[in-house]
Amino acid sequence: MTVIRNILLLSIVVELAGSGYALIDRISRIAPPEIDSRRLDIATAKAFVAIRKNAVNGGLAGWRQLAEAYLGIGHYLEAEQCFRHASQLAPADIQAEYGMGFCLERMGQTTAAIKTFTHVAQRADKQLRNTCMYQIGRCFLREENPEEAEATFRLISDQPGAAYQLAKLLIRSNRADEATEFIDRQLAVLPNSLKFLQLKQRAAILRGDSELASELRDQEDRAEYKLVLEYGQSFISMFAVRYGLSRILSRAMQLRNNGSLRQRKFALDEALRIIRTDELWQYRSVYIAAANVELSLGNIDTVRTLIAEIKANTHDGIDLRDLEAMVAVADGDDESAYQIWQLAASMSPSAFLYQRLAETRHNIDEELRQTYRGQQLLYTGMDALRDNRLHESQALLEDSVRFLPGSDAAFFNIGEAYRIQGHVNKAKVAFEECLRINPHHWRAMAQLEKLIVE
Amino acid sequence: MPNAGTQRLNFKSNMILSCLSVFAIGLPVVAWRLLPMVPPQGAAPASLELAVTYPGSLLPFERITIAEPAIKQPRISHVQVTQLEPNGPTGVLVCDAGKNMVMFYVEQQCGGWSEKVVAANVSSPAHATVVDMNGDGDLDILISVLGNIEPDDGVIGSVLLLERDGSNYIHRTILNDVRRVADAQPGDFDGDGDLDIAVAVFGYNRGQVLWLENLSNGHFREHELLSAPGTIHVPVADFDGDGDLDIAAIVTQDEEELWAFENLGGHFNARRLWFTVNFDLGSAGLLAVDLDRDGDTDFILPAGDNLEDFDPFPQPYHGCLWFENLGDWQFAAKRIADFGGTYAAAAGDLDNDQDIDIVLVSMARVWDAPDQASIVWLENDGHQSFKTWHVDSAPTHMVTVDIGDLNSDGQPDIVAGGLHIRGPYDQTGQITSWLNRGEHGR
Repeated sequence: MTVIRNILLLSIVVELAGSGYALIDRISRIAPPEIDSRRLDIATAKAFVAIRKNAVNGGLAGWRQLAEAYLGIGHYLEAEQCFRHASQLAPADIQAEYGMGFCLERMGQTTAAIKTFTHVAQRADKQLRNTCMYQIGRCFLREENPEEAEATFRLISDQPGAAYQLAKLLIRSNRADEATEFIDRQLAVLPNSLKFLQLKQRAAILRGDSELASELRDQEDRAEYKLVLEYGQSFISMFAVRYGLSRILSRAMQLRNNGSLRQRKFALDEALRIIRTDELWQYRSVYIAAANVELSLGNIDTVRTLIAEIKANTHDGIDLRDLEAMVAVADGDDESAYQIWQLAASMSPSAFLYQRLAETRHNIDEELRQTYRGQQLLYTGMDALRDNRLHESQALLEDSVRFLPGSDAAFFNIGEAYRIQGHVNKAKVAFEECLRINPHHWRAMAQLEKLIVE
Repeated sequence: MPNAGTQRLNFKSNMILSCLSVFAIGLPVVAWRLLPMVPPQGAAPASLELAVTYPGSLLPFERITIAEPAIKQPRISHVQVTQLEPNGPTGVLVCDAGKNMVMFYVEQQCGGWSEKVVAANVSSPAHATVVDMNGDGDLDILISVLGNIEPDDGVIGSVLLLERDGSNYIHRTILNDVRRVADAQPGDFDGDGDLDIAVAVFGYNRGQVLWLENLSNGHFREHELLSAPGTIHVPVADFDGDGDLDIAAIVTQDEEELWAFENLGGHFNARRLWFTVNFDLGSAGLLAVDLDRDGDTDFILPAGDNLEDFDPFPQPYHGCLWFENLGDWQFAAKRIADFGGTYAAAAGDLDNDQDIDIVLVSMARVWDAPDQASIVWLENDGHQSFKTWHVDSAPTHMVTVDIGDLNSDGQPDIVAGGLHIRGPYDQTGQITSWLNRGEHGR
């Protein structure tokens, strides 16, 4: 009996000591930083309570999760604190350390960010190393230290972003020839890249090669935005869509591609409940998306309610006016719809609006319908021309001049499509016709003069 | 048979053993259950001090609301203290990209402010300039139209002229088929007696600086001065003192460059006056003003636009630069204030001490921290050294500011507009004024 009692007493002493130790350990643990949850939507705020609790109890994984969650909502300071702590808990976790560097860079703590990225780069695989080096180079640029930036970008000059930054630095320090070498190397991989063509233009101007500069200026209008220079937002977005309202919206976005209208409605309704409760009017696009879904489902009264909410609380836009016109059509008031689209097209002309206008004149005014059809073709053709889809634009613009025989814009743009493809005579005829319609069309005049000189 | 005493003793021992057993088993369970409820007391070290504060302004200002937000998150893109008629009342001309309107607000004698819609259905107006464009003695309005206030590389911009016709305006499109237009400023560049126009085609990935030659027959001929995205403002002045008007431009997208176009009699020589490799500086505008009152025109550059981030953060290099005109197209850049998220500046003698002070407004601060100024003024000591004073912490997210005597008391007041496209959204404001309550300086 005494032995048992002594064993139990000993156990209790050990347990008390252990509990005391655990209590002290618990009290001395780092408390995760808190934010004002009133500024979060209710769904995200609820998720954060659990994530924060998990960080206290869950060690490295919990702290990383909390860090990424804070980063996802743009709380860089709190995210950095959590990444730092995670990094201390597991010094080998380079992702946590990279996250810390990322937050420091966001907060303008460039010197600390450079130190952190350098440490990560020493241990990282090639991809992460390159990312770190690119970030380091950009930090040096932000510190107005072009020498260090150049040296860093040179180390990864096969990367398009780094090559771009390096070439830019070279141009700015009057080394256009060397810059052009880097630019041409990248243009071979990324042909028609807007950013590289713009840089090459600058290099040509610096070298005094006005002919090439002019040629590149012309090409710039039809170049494509291919080069990613800023990775930050996509890195943050990865974490932003994990919780709360953003998660619901992300799911609704996915359903756009692979869901039924009913499924989309369900997801958007769920989002709208939160948005309405918390008065998150910045999510105007959710109202617009929901209204379009309701329109497709034939729920016109619901669309009307959504339009009234948008108008009372958020900003104007062509998308809103289009919805109003569609409701008018559903009510059988085509004339009101026509007027709304007419006004919208005068504010912000587009192929889409002219298509709507053409449809409203069907069986009402054939001449006007054809004019709108011509405008639709003109704007579609202009978009194709700017996207460098030259054959397609030519076909569209040739059609547009048939519908719009009195349009200087139509003749000018088809002239451009011909000129760019080297159809000089056809281009001249089109520009001349443009000038016959509008003798003050200075762009046509300039292009015609150029063609004649050439 | 154990006697009663022994039984009691055994019972007591058993009880003690039972209690000890329960305690020995229960203690870890209780500890396991309760420990997670104990809040940790350690604090993670902060990497930087967030709360950058400034001393409260000794020059008293009274905040008044000129227009309550018509929508929950206003999108005012430009405010200007001006008159719409040569001898008309002074009011605030406002570009509202939320309502797609240009409005004019005038204080009423009975109190409050009247709102007159000058132009409706203008797709994201960015800037309005009052000028007698056609020389008929009344004041017209030149409007720069973005077409979309969000990033957009589409050909959706225009320049609109509202020609005064009695009490109405006739709308004329001066320029279209260009990318987003952020600014248009008039000036007779070719010396032929009519007003031409300098245009900042901001665009997004592509943009231009243009000048439109007035052919005096209702037509304008466009000339490209620079191909670069992100030009916000194109102030016009005689920067080299040779008697004709030159054009300046601040390029802010990817490149951060200050350009001047020297007028050589209707054709221009492009001069890059300054640049920084810090692509993230966030130049947000350009003011032409003779800050040091030495007879030539200097530049004021507010810097802190990082709207490209969903969660913009104030940077250490945000603030205000002064480019002192040294003559012969030489300009010396001097930092005169640090102020995170600076988006706009206005100049005027706020404290009536015969020098030029500056007001700055901010788009991006750490709004969670207490006492974060959204508007400050920089007091000029007369030698272009400036002290930053906190004017107010609300509303937040202001992107446009002007100085002028709004209440005809002889004191320059401040008016600013809010563009609430980034959170938090709990301190919104549409058009707010800070009436100068100082009496002949502090």
